[in-house]
Amino acid sequence: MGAVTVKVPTSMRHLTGGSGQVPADGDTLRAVIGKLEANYPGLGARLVDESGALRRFVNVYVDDIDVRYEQSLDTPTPDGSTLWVISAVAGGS
Amino acid sequence: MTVALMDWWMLTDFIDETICQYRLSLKTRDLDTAQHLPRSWGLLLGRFTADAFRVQEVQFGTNVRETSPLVLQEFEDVIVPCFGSAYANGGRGFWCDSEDVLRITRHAESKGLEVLGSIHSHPDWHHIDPAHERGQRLSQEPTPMDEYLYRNTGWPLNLICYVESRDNEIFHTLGGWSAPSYVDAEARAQPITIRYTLARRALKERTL
Repeated sequence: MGAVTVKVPTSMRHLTGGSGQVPADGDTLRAVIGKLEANYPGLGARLVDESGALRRFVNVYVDDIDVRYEQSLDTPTPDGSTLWVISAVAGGS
Repeated sequence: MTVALMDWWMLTDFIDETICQYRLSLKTRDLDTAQHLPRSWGLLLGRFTADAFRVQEVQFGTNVRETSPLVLQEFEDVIVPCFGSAYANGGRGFWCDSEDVLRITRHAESKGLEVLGSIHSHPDWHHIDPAHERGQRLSQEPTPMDEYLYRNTGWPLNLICYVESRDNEIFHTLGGWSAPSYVDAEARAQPITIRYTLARRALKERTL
């Protein structure tokens, strides 16, 4: 099972006790998110909506790969990879 | 109370861009169709403690508001129906390319900084027009659409630079705002006080 490092943006650090980087494991992004939700309640719900899809306000990169353009939640998460959770940056005028 | 601490000069590039955008919009103010909608924005980088953000850098990215299918879908499904047809205009609002957010996040990490949030401009539509925007009266406070985006993106520091022209001069006000709670739909963005550096050293060494 792949051990990965998850980079958490400041926008979600209140869910990880302030940590900007947390460990997780799983062979796919879906499995990793399941572990994140178990260890940091609420974090998984910030990433995935009620239908089980990645939220529009979130991007996840496995190293340099944007999972939205790969296999989304079924994207493999190789051992030693880094998952970058990226919150959208947006506003109006 | 949380405060945002910064050096005024750090905003120079953002302010220059804001003025440039604003002047372009003034040139087309009498036209009844959208010619140029002033829009400037950037990401805020810095450090934070329990009660203060120390903003140290502004970085800029690519706006995908009008090109990303995902973003266009969000505007069509939620933002326009909820916050008005004005937002059907692709010149309204910004959305940073996620590749740029990742790049800037890595840049911040390499310098021991964090991405704290964003800054964007609000023009005085009610003064400058164009005609189809006359009903908009903005300020340095977040619009309902801003609050929706702040809630969903969750960044802890959100700055709004309100720009207004009077008597051939341009003025501004900077407002700082928290993200409304993600789990409380009634929660509102709360103001964050902005303080500018007054002196680089609190204690000056005596020279003999």
